[in-house]
Amino acid sequence: MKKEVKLSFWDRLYLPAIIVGMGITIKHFFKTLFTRPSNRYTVEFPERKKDLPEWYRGLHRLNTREDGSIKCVACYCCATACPADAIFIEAEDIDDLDEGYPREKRPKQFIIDLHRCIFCGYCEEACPEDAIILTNEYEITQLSREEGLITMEELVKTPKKKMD
Amino acid sequence: MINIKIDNTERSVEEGQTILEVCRNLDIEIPHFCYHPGLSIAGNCRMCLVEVKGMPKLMTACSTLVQKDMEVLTDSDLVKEARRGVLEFILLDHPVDCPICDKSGECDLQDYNFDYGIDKRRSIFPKERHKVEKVSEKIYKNDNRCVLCTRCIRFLDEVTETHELTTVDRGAHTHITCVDPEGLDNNPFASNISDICPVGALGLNEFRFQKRVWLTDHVRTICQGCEAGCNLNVDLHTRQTALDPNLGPVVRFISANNYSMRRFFICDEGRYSYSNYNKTEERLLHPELDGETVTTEEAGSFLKEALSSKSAGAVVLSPLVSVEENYAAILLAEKMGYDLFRPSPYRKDLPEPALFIEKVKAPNHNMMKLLEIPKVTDMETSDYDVVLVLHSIGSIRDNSLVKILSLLKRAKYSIVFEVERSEFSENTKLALPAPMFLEEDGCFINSGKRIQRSTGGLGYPESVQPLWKWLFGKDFSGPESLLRKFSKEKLGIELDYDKIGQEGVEL
Repeated sequence: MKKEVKLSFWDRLYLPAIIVGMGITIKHFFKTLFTRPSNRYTVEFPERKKDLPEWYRGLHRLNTREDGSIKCVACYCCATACPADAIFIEAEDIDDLDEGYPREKRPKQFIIDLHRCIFCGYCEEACPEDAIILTNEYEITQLSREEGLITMEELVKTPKKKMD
Repeated sequence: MINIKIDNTERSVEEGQTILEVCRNLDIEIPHFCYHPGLSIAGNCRMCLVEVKGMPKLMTACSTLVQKDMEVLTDSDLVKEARRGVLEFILLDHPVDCPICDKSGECDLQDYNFDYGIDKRRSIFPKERHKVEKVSEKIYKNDNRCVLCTRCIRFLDEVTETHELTTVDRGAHTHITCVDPEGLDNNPFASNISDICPVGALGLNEFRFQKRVWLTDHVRTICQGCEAGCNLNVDLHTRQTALDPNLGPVVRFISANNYSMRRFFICDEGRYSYSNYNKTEERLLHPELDGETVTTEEAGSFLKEALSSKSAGAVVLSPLVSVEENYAAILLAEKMGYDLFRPSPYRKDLPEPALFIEKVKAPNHNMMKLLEIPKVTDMETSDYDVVLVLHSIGSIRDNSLVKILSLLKRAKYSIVFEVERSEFSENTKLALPAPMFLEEDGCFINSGKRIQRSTGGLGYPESVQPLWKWLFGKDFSGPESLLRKFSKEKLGIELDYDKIGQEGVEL
């Protein structure tokens, strides 16, 4: 649908509206200039970084057990829950039959395609082992499509949340 | 017929059946582990307990026969309490490792625990742990998950009569062991025990950790291995994600119950034949004229030219191809006055306990026999200008093969309609790509003269067309209209896909 906007005479003069707009911009400029950096709305990224709330959903992390092995059991629950088909898992058989905690299955490959991921957090919700979590890490830019495919080895290294 | 009351509803049921069978036919669910329609009744899982009026205790529905004026309650408080109790006992020593279990998604214990079980475990004692063991090349056993329903033991005792598995030890330490020193390797039906296992205790090594069952689509088809026509449930992987490796679309074959045929198991040969349908290198995907790929239109014009030549022609049907495709070829032969022939299907020596494996290795051989189509080896002349040969994945006998090849070489217009490149398409002028059996609906007539339906869940590629589309274009709306015409004209009965249903119709 095309929406027609009727401009008033004052708007059609063009220049007065520009001057009003510039006034607002300049007002904010001086306001920011005379405020202490900690109270400003803008952050001087990347020198300063914003403290993100705990519920922020950033880069994924694969948690590990105390002995360093990966918590993920390749159950595909996250891949099933994923609305963007961003998770790819290939499972592997392990013959680790520890008396206390026998394990049978682990991921051979665990890849998250960050270009497909919409950071909805469903994978974290679906995980029965608390293996995948979304951290506060938000500096995730890549220069190519291939770099966006994050493998298991990289996901383990994602820094934990501050509160953890 | 006798009248009984199930859940306070009057029902008229046949005598001699058990409560469980009656309820299954009436679509009333009674949970059960040890009962299997193809095996004897054990009554050891106690999951199917129902309340019968006048009886002091709950009765097992799987072993109690219905009697006149019986009153059964399948959903009373007492029954629910009993189910909760049974599930709690089973789960005492069950690892509940559904995330890593390959059965999860189609597991009876999982379903029943969601429907009838309790959420909390009251026992504080540790669970017993066993190692995962490979009982054969094909099968693994995980004792942790076993519920001791003994379906696998009864299958090997009663159906194959080879007695490889048995229970050892007593009480809470009871577990299943393979007592045959050669394992299950020599049993050509052994893989059935992974299907009938209600939990994830027995599974196939080939499917282990390959795919979760809920990520696949399921279709019901007919095994193409021999003329026995066993019912299959096929798992298809059609929803490929961007990162998935290019695995084939057919994930596995599992047996499907056919109550009217009383057949619940399939042979291992049929089960592992799924990989034949994943090969792509040999697949004929575009029409080929003199060995060169041509467009559908060019192939169509060659076909038109061949069919308008008014010379003597022969159509060689195929026992490997569905009723509908064969009938399209028969219709063409009737219209043009061509002679019809059939090749002799490949035969194979049977393994020792043959059970339901048939010698003739072609799913639709009985259609040829039913229509009394002469063998291609009995052909008197071989001077045909137009030759149409149907073929699919599978093999035919050598003498038929030689005869058909000589026919193709002599003909002016030779047309081969097949799925994979074979000797036929190498020696023909026009090779037309055919959909394979999982790509289009089709019916097959088995050795018991039962017409059964196979569902095509995959859908064929764009450049591939079924034969009726090549020959008759828009005269037919789909394979079902061909089947209707076939059954009316050749069998004298009215059939359609709904009437054939899942279990088929005996002719």
